[in-house]
Amino acid sequence: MTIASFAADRFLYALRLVGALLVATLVPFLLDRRLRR
Amino acid sequence: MYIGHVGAALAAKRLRVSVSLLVLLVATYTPDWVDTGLCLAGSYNTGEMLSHSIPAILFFAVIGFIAYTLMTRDRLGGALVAAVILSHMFLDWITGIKPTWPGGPTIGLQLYAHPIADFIVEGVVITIGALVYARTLPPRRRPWLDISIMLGALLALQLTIDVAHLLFKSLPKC
Repeated sequence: MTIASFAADRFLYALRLVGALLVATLVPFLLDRRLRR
Repeated sequence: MYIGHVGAALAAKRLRVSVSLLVLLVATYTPDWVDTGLCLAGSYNTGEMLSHSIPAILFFAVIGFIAYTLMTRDRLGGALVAAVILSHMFLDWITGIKPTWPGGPTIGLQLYAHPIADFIVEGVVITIGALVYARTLPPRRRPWLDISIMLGALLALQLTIDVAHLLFKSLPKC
């Protein structure tokens, strides 16, 4: 149970990292595409 | 540093407009993507030796240079990609505390502990990057509106992160 909970926590942390990096990458990229139209 | 890294990518775009901003954005966050991969794989170490130490970032910069140069035959573009990867290390020394090499000291001003100071410093880097980047945009009737949208969005993201740090003092990275 403890191991499962630890793995779930780690997955959520990793998901948070992926989400933050995607937002930080895609927001300026998509704005750049719009500004170059 | 968080969104401040985007400032480095935006400024780099001005140096070589032919390099895609997406490539520069991936380059600027390379050590953090490595951290994320390590976290997902269950191999994350809190010291960040494999992702943020000087040898690790030098390695990523060399890989970035080789990969970009091989794909595009543009050595200057490859050098720019490598420089942007290296910029991650220097910017992190301002706001974080990072490893140098195995057995070496950790260095950095650790502004993350002071979210307001962090926002000011990252805001300055973002603003400089956005102003430099603005010169790469096609001429328009209202160029300041365009750059204000970019600047506003990035500052809002940074503010969100710093407010989260104020509210939740000890957010584990992985």
